[in-house]
Amino acid sequence: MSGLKVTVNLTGHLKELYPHLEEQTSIELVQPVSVFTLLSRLGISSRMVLLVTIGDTLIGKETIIDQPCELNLVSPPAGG
Amino acid sequence: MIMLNGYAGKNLKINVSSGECRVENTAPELAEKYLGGRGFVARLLYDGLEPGTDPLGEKNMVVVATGPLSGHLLPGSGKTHFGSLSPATGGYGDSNLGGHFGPALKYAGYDYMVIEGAAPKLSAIVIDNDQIRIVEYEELQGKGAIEAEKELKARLGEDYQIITIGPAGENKVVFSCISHDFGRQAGRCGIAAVMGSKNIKAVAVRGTKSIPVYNPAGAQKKGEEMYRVCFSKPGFKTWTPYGTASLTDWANEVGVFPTRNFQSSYAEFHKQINGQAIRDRLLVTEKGCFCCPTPCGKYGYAKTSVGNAYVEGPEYESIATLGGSCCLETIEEVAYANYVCDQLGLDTISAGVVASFALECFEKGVISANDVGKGISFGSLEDVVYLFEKIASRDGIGAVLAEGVRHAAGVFGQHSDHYAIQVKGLEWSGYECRNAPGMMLSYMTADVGAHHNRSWALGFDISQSDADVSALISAGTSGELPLSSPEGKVDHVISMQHSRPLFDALGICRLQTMEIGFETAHYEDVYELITGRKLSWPEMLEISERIWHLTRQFNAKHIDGFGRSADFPPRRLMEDPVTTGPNKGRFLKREILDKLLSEYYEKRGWDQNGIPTAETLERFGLEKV
Repeated sequence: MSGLKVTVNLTGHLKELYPHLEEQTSIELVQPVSVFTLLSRLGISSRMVLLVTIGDTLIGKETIIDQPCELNLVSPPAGG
Repeated sequence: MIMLNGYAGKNLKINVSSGECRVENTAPELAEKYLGGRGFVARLLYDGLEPGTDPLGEKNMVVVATGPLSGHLLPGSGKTHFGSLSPATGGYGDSNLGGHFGPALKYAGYDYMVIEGAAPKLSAIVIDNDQIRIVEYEELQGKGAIEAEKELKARLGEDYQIITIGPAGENKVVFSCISHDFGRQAGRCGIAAVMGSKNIKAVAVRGTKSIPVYNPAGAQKKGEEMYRVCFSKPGFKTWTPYGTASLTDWANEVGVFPTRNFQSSYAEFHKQINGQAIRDRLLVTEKGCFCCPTPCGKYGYAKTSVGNAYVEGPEYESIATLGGSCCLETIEEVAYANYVCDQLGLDTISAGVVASFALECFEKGVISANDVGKGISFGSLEDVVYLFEKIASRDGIGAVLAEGVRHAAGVFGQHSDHYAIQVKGLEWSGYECRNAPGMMLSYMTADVGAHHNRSWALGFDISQSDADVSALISAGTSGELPLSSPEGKVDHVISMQHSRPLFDALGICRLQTMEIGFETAHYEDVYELITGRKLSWPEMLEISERIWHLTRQFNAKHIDGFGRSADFPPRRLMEDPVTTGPNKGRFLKREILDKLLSEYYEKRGWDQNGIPTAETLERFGLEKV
């Protein structure tokens, strides 16, 4: 079975909080996993991810990633 | 005159007692050492005010300053900084404003403006390029801040950019705010009260001049590139629809949402006052500031049993303090309370905390219906609006509350200081911190008092493993403290206290960088193209650090006995467990905060009373302060 290539884009505070990750990071999955699991593998606290989108579509963190895609991780804003 | 590229090159000093207006050249060394905005405010206040100055006396100053990037054609360049000796804290006070005022001031030819003295009658300063007038406007007395702006626009012309104060500022409420553009505020530290003490209801500016730029073609090209980069960021599409209000659900999920005067950090009704509720039930249109690619303003219409209104907002901080802390359970009620604050000219953050303090005092029997003029309760929009109106007019109990929670607790007694939620006299903004030690330290050490915008270390706290935070929390109840973690909470707070205020010195909005991940390298490039001066981001951060030491020294100069004891939160946040929600039962003991503070002072180069050492001041060229 060939791997699932998932591209992950970090925004806002996530770039600052996880400097070991590039703004755009790719990961090969050997089998489908949830967004929660993916975040854990990248070392990102799911509590610091406010929203997850694929393109313009909002998805939940429990969503199973079962095909190649580009995920956008949006951090909470820091007030006005 | 030396050409200061990027700057207007001149500044304006207005004595409203005598009517004297002086135009001077902006000193190149001031721009070199302090950049602009917050840096100008801090240095000018430090040099201009003697110890013992009355914050509401004629000798206090209102400084209004732009930065080197203000007014240029690049994302978020509409920022202006305001400062005074704060009547709320007695120390350094500043506040930042979006909108269009700063660019207009710069186009009129002024990098900054200093207002001194006190006008004999209620007046407005009207600036039309080189023509400066102080015009009596007694008929504006008691007018709402937004109403006054509308009226002045009608009289002077739509092309004027105008700042106003409401009745709260006229009556010197120490948490009154400066209003602009029908819903933007320089909210914190009571600078509107200083304007009120000077009998200045408004400043109107029209400017049509240009600003010298070192490399105009390069700066324009870079500005266009910066917009393209902003639009391409993945966070761009999710940011604008909800703005800061998107934080509401998250703040509840992680347990940092101030609720019922900070008794809890979770509101069960939070889904009714979140960003989606704004879109579903209030929104009329998005509203942005000068040159903004990511408009966070939400202009809407709220219908409630108390009244109906068009209002900009509420943004997150207002949702937290009016919705959470006062327990207003619908977005319409929060928006209407926001509107009342905007018209009266009250800072929604402090006003929400002051009202919730009064509500708890009433609930506990510290104050009675006789004291208040009626019975009041959490969750009642009518009661919250009643309190705001009392405060703005200094009527009855409003006269006590108008001085802020620290003062009111001193008057009410009965240990109410325990839950007067403030630091240094400034009410706490929208993050409850009993599970967030980095953020708690940020609030404790912010130069203006309990304000979030100097360091938002909350993300750092939350992103740490649960085990790490839990260890810290349990240490609070049982013993030795592993505080100097390799991750470095203190280091992170210090770093943010330089990076976030740097945007206020440059005259630029930080949200593009902080919220959607815009790279700071763009600012290095555009700063050089505009000013001709090469400065790396770390070099700019060093300037920001200089300003931080200066504002600390300002507080030491102006506040009797200033030191370590000024850096602690109220006892509720150190002794009372959170009552509900994900952090139920948690709190941070004073001993933990004491250790964090010791480490913070040491890393800052301050003594253990929190005063910058001579070596530190010398290192930053501040040996003469």
